[in-house]
Amino acid sequence: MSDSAPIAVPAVSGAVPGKLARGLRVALLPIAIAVLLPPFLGSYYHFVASLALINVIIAVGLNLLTGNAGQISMCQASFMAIGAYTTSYLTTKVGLSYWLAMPSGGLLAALLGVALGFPALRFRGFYLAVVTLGFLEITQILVEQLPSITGGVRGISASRPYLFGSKLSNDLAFYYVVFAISLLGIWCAISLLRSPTGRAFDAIRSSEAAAQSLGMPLARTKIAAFVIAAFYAGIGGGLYASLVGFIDPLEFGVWTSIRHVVFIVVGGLGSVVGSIVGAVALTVLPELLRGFKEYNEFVFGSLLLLVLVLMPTGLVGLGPRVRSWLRRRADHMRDDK
Amino acid sequence: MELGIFVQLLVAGLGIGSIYALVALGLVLAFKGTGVLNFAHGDLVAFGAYVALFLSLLKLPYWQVLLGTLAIAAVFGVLLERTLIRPLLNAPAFTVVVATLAIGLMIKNALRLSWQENIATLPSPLDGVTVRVGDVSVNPQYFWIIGCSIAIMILLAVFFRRTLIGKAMKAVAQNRDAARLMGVRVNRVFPLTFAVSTAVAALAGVLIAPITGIQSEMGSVIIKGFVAAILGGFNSLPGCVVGGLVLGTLETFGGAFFGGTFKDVTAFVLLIVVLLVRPNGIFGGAEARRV
Repeated sequence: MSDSAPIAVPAVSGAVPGKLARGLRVALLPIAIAVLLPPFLGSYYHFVASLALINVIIAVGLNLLTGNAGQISMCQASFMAIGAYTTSYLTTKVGLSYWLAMPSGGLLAALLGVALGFPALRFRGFYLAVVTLGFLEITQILVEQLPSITGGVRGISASRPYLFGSKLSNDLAFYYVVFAISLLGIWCAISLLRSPTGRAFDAIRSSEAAAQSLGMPLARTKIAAFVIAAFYAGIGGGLYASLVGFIDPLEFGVWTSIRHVVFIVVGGLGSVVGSIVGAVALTVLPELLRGFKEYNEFVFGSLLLLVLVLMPTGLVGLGPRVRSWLRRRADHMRDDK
Repeated sequence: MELGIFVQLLVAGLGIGSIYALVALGLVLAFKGTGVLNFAHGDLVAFGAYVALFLSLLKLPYWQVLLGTLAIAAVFGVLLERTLIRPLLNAPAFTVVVATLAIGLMIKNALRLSWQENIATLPSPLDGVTVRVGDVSVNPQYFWIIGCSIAIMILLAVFFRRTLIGKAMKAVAQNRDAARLMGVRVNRVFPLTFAVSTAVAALAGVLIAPITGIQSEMGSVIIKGFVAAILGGFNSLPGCVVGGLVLGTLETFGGAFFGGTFKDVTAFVLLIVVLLVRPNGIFGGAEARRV
């Protein structure tokens, strides 16, 4: 697709190496913490951290679709389910290696992303939201109605993969696998956003007509966004199944889809860092609030409303806002003197 | 096919279809009136059922429960519009979808906490009555649903055609600015629209409760409402009614002939097919889009 979007990239290319270096420096500290800290923590923390990183993978994919390409999707949970069930089925029933089964889950999800992307080309806004909600319901019903593959409502068990001949039943070892994959996913997303395709995503969000008049292939770009988001969710689902060890259709309902949307809205739409911050913060938060588990939906709902109204740019948008506020304060102070 | 079974299926299909029609009516009313597609509408159906449940615990007679629920729902609709929907009026579609989903989630959570996970039901006003066609009995509640739905639809039609308030609501739906220039107090019409929409949703909840029982997941009926509304073109109230009845009948007969899976999937297959083949529904006119 790189040759098909001949948009002028205004003078950004020269700034990229410097920006990249700065980005790497900023990323170094979190990466160092994520690598060095876990061995000193208990197994429960490894589990939560893996869960957070799996959510990061899904949120990064969804944010490319929603935040950058501007397409609403309420059905990331379905793609997650497709990845999770494919992985479990291929490993436990077919006997395929996890390292083949998990990517196949991602690919199957991506394939169904194409299937959803085609009808989605014709819809926007509310209609797209309704169609993706419908898709979510269909996959949930199919999962329940095909017990020979999915175990139906009773669910299906999934196992941990083998790496170099040893089983990763240790949560810490599996955490590092998830960490490596999520790092890869984040890096791919950042690179994608710097590529012509990524810029095309942003362009069709701002104005489909303008993007088309500049020769951008609207249909292909939109479908690409759906496919990429579905692939990320599929991979996330495959990892999730293996982490938790057991999946059932209830895991992949509307509530899960809404949570994915909350991640990116709270973190910051259209920002990879936002997806990471949102997913990590909102995976850890419910764990901290375990005593209030029954109010979970209430907390998420009100958080979502507050963020939408008070800080539409999400948590990552707070940094510049606080900085400019501080600067204004400083100016006032100086003026007063 | 035996006549008795046919009648039984037809009545059940039209009954369920009337519920879908009511849900779709509420959705489209609010959407046309304010431009906000309310993804919390399904949870308003559940809200109605729960309010009726609490009122019936007070040992009130059925008609008081029914009217009380509608009144409480209307007030709730006004409050909802004033506090949560108003800031969304000019927001982009994504914000509206996410915000109303969040509102729905909170309503659902509150309902679940109010009654815990217990399953409950409402008494039907026709509890003692038995209706038989040949040797097949038909659940009388379906007749009550159909009757109430027809009544509310006639009421709405009269309301929009004959009363000044109804005409004002129609005017605002057609062109907000023009209505304002003609002296319609648009900001008063919005809460009213939501009051009517919420009351219709609550009515659907009260009517369906004796058949499906009351639980916080009742809100998922919103998807069927969407399908009914889209079948009807999404901007026509009679379209919603026909869409709902078609969906309910198809689903019920399909389920009887081809099994439960077919019943569950019908709505979504119909949704995708209609949107692909005839995106403006059976009744909707073509829609111009500003680029």
